[in-house]
Parts: sequence; C-alpha cells; structure tokens
Amino acid sequence: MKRFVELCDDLESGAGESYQLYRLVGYFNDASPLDHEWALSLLLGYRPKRMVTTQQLRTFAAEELDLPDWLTVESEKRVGDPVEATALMLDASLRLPSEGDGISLSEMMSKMVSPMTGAEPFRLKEMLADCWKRLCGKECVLFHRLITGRFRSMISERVLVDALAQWLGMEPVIVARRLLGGFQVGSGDFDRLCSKPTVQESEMIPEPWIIPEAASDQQLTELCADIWAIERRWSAERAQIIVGEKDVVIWSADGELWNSRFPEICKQMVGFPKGTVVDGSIRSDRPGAIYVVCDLLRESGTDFGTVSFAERRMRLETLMAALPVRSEGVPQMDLFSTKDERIPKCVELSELISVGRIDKLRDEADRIREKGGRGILLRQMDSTFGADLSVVEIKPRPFSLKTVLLGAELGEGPRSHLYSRLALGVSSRKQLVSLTKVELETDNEELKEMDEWIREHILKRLGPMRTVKAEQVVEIEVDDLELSNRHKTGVIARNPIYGEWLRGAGTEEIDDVEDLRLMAEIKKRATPDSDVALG
Amino acid sequence: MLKVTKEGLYCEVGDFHVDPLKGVDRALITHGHSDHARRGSKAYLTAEKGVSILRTRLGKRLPVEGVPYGESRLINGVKVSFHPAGHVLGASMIRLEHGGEIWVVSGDYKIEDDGISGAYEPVKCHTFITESTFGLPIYRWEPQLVVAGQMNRWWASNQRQGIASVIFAYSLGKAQRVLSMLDEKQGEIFVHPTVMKMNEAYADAGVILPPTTELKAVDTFGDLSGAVVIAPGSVSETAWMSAIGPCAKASASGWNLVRKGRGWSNVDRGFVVSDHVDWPGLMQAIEANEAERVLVTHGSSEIVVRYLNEMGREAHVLEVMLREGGE
Repeated sequence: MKRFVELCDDLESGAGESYQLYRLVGYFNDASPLDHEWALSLLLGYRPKRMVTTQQLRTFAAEELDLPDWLTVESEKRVGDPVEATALMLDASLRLPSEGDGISLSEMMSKMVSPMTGAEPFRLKEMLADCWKRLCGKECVLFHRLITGRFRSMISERVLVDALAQWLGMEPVIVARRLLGGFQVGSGDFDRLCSKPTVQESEMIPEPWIIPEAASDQQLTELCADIWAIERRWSAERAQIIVGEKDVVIWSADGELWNSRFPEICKQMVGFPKGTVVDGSIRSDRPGAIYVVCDLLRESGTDFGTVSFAERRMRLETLMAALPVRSEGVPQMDLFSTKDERIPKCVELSELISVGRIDKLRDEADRIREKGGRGILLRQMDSTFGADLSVVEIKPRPFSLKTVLLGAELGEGPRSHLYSRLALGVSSRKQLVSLTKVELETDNEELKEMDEWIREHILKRLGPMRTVKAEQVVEIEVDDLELSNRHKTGVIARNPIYGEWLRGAGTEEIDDVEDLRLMAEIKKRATPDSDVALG
Repeated sequence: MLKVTKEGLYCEVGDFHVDPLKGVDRALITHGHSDHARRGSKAYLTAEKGVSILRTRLGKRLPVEGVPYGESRLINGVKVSFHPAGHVLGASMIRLEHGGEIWVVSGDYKIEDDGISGAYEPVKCHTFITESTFGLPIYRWEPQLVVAGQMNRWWASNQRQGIASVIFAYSLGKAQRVLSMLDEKQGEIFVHPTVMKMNEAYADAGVILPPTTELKAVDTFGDLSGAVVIAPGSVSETAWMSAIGPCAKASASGWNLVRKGRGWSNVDRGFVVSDHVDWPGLMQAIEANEAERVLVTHGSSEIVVRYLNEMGREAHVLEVMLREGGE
C-alpha cells in the first residue's frame, strides 16, 4: 500500500499532467495485481460510504492515545484537517518494523474498510484500534479518509484513461469506452478492461481526426472557388458518431465519450444504418444541442477512406434525407427499449454556401466572427479522406492586443526551469486586470531575456505565480474575444499567441478592457443564424 | 539560577549569558544557528565540536573557546558543562550547577542519532529549559533510514526521467544530514557554495560526508541530469537555480509532515527531516532528566506547559523574546 499512498501524494502535489501520467503508469507497472483493481476503482472516484464520523474518530483516537481532548483539538488546528491530524497522532510507524510494502491496498479495503459497514459503535472502536496497530503514517491518513467518506480522486478521468491505455498497450478510446459502463471491484470489470480488444470494439474506435490546415492570404489567392465545398464554422465542439451493431457512441476529439452528455443525439442517430461513422460538431451557440454532420467516413461497414468528398457528401445527403426526423418531433425507438418517445430534431446536415471569389473569404471570416462564428471551412471536392489540403480553414484576422506583463510561472518540460508562462493584463479604469496567459516557445530568443528580467523584478509569490513590476508591454494575437461573466475582465481571449515584447513601450499604450468588452458585445447582439452576406 | 533579561538568558552568579540576543561580555552558545549564535560578544564558550562552525558563521578570528563534551569549567563558582544535543554538529545542552542546584538549557535537540550530529544524552537536573518547536502529538518522526529510502527512490525516479534532483535544506545541519542520507553510489552530488562552506566546517571537525562538487555562480553548470543538488531554500528564485536546467524540487523539513506545511512551497516533494525533538522524544527527554520543573520555550510552549501541568508536573512558559525563523 505504501506505493499507492506515495502515488496519491505525488498526484496531489500539483505537478503537471505529463508527470501524473508517468507516475500512474509506473504505479501500475510496479503494484501487485491484487491492488490494481482497488487502486483503479478509487482513482475513478469510488468512495465508500461514511462509516465513522469525524467526532467518533477524534474521541476514539484520544482514548486510544490517552491524550486529553483539548490536545487533539489543538493538533487539528495546526493540521487544518481532523482526519489527517488523528492519523498523524496514531502513526504506527514507530511501533512497527517498517520493512516491505506492509499491508496491501486490497487487504486494507477488504479486511479493514469493508467490515466496518454497519458496525455497532462499540465494535467500531475495537476494529479501529486493531487497524491503527497496523497502519503507518500516510497509510492511516488514506484509511481515515476512506472510512469518513472524505476520499477524493485527485486526477481527471482522461489522464487515468491515457495511463491505463499506455500500461495495457491499448487505444485510449477502447479503455474509455470500457470504463463507460461503470467499474466495480470483484465484478470481472477489471478482467474485461484488460482483455484483448474484440473486432466489434475496434469498429467503435473513431477515425483519425482531420485537422484543418490554416490558409495564408497568399494561398487564398491561389485557390479556385469551384473545387471547394465551403461552409461557415460556428462555435462548436468537434465530435464523431459511430453507429454500431448494438449502440451509438459519440467521441469528442479529446477521446472522451459524450453519450451521457447528449442522449438525444444518440437516439436520433440510431436511424442511420449500422456500421456508419460520421464526422461533425456539436454546436454550443444555440439552445439545445445540435449535431451538425459534415462528413461521412464509413457507411454500413464500408470504409470511405478512398472515396472523394463529393461522393461522400452525396451519400451523406441521401442518408440524411432518409433519417426519420421532423423538426416538430418524431416517433423514435428508445435505444434499448421499444418505448415510443417524441424527440426534437437535433441532427442537421452542414450547410454549404456558394461564393464568387475565394480571396474575399478572409473578409467573410471576419464577418462570421462578428456573428459569433469561428471562420470558414473549405473541403476539397475531389480529395480523399485525410489527403493533403483536403480541409482548409480560413480564420478571421487575429486581433492584436497590447498587454502588460503582470507575472509569470515556470513552464513545463524543457521550459520547466524558465519563467515562460506569462500572465498578461490590460487596463481597467486606470487599474490593471489580468486577461490571459501565453506561453513563450523555447526557440524564442526573447525567452531567456524575459526569464532574466522576471527573476530580477519579482515582487510577490502566489503559489507557482511570481508577480512582477507591471511595466513591460507585450503584444499578443487572439483569434476572438467573447463575453464571460466568469472572468474578472468580463471577456475571454480565445487562443492567445505570443506576438512581441515591445521594449520601451509605456504601460499607457496597453489596451483597455472596456474596448475589448465592446468588441465582444457587438457579436453577442448578432444572432448566429441571421444571414451573412457573401461578397 | 537563570533569568530573562533583554539580552536573553542570564546567569547572575556566573555573570554570563546563554545564547544571548545581543553582544555581551561572556556568551555560552548551544549551537551555531543564527537564532542562537550572534555576533558582538567579547568571549564565546561552546562545545569543542562546534568551534569550526561558529568560526565559519561568525568570523575566523572569533574569540571562541571549545570545551569537550562532559568536561566541566568553573565560571565564578558556577560549574558549567556541555552535553551532546544531537541537533547539529557541536550542538549542546548546557548544564549549570551551583550550590547543589542543577539547571539544563536544551538549546535545540533531537533524540535520534543521525550519525553526524553527535548522539543526544539525557542530563539529570532540577530545572530543564526545553525547546518545543514541534510540541504537538502530531509530530512524530519516522526513523532516518526510512526517510533516506524515500529520498533515494525519488532521486532514482528523477534519474529515469533524465532530470536533476534539487533538495532545498538549511545550509547548516540539514544540508549535511541530507547529504549523509543520500546513496553516493547512485550518482553525483553537487552543492551550493554556502552549503560547501558548512561541509568544510564539518570536515574540520572530523565528520566524513560523501564527496560533493561545488556549483559556483556561473551561466551554466553543464548537464546535471541524474545528479542531485543540495541548496538553501533562499536560492529557489534566483538565476543560480535556472542554470541547473530541468529538475524536480524537494524540500527537507519537519514542517513537511503536515500537508498544510507543504502547500504553497512550490516544490514537488516534501521530505520529513527534522533536527528537532518530536512529541514522544520531548516527553521521553523530560522523563529521563528527572527535572522537578520544566521551563518551555520556542514553539508550542503554552500547549506543552498545559499538558505537563495536567500530568502533574511543574511547568512554565519561558519567554526569551521573539526568535525569528522556524527550524
């Protein structure tokens, strides 16, 4: 169990995700197979029911140690956590030879934690006293958290999925999907998780995600309008939907399963033939979730990898027309039952637009941003899936903002010893408010100079953040500005990229938050679906 | 026998001070940490093993005399002797005897023998002045061997990632203890110049430590991946630190035992290494020296006093002016 305790300690220490991943894989490699199941279950967020209250724990511990109550209370004050304080006082490491791994995690769960369920208070004390004799230091902290219902997993499920995938030598998407049905110790779930992927499962894996290539202005002049399918790109999250033999799955581009987030989309997609895979995105800028389909990657088990987009699009239009949906609601089979249910239309085909001159598309992208969109996507008609330049993105022209350097954090990986993550702010009524963070790249010559300047001008430490004297002006580029009531400034800067360090520029030159808010507000008033004039 | 004046603890009969806060005529020093040993006194008396450390900290020509542990000196009729406190090299408990009355001033002390600071010995007395830095029952140290294992495993794990391991520790005492806990066969060990200075003082007193290389302030130290670096915590924000390159950071302190103590420290790992007495040790020491009266200072004095009173022992809080600094 020492290994698991050390793992939890490391995961909690606030290190980056890459370190968490490294530690998790290391743990699964080293730990005994008996412990894997429990460790996984706890990390996935399983929490045993509370069996002991903090007050009981405090009283029992004080009796066991023969300490006055006030002294345990004083100790808790120092520690800030009653569960940790009692564990530290009871630490058995001084009574026990601390060789080997001691009691295992699975042993603790099955022999110490589980038997406490529903135990009478007088029995509880005996059981606790028995456990305390065998648990050292942080093992006891973990034990106390578990029995008082205070244990929390300290990592995101995504990191855990990636770690398991690496450890098992499997696709992360298969691991994610296997965990979707829940995970219970002793139910065979663990063996199922580790078993070789079946053919059927492999079919439920998403196709590669084609990332649009950003087109430069120069490229735009060279493109010819008639070989492209052109669509507007709205604020949306990319998702692939796979219609399998038995079920439908929605994959996010991060490898997350979104079935439970969008059950109505799942239900409607059942109307597609089995063995079909579509690409599209879920629009978040309109009430209710709408899945906008833009490409067909597989149909009834037939791979469309070598078929041109024009043909894929034609097949997709046929399929969509056959999809039994009407906007006012349609009778639809429940996924697994035969219950009759009417659901609103939530799957749409992406709309293609026609355009005269392709080099005017940058202006169009700017206009779409004003309506709350993200730009324009071009798909080459005769291009096969995933071929070079098959999908091209035309982004709006970035906004250039002048900000002031407020502080910095150490970067990650090769930049872990340099202050490369800059916190930037703008002015607000003659004061400064923090707007965003940007990362300086390693090959940037300015990085070292910036690091030196920061170290010489640190004013204050706030966790990993070092506040510096606000006098250096940094220019950044952002894709978009959006209103937000969760941010101090009231605006979010989308995709901020480091531009330039404007040495010698005075802080009076930096942008004002009111102007940024105004820019974001103009868009808010525009409705995304109002017609956009094409030039 | 001792009273508190604005210069600190004063023995009127013997006309000397113990760990004075200001410059005085005659100062008895328990150990070299800056909250106990200060400049400006005309004559210093300390344990023989602590002389080189005092000279390193307070000046090469410091008027200091060393007394071997256990050997007595008579100062104006007061019998004075130094006894090993196990805190850092040369740290002592000072025993004072006059007219059949015996007092012991603990300075800072630790029960476990760490192999380099000298082994603590209980000293019987009537009045015991004890520190209480970690005077709460939550503070119980694991044996040094166990912590050393954790430290070396952490180092090995960083080596597998191809990065350096930096351990922050006080340059006097803690740094040498960390050094003695590291497995020198595992890789190269580098130290910050201030740590090197203290290592030399330890060497002068005959303590053998693993070999180290000094990292002087230059632009770059070369490739330190896989190596361990010991440095004082004060350098964590400096250019010296950025010259080390990619590294994992840890601190070594008794405060690391409690999660809250590690919270904002900006290190990846906190090892629990303390040179102070823990709760069971404190109780053990009070029991062993059979003191009729305990005066508690420096730390959780009020809590310890209340507990001792409830246990039926005479105890009082002794305020020797604020001492800055923790460990």
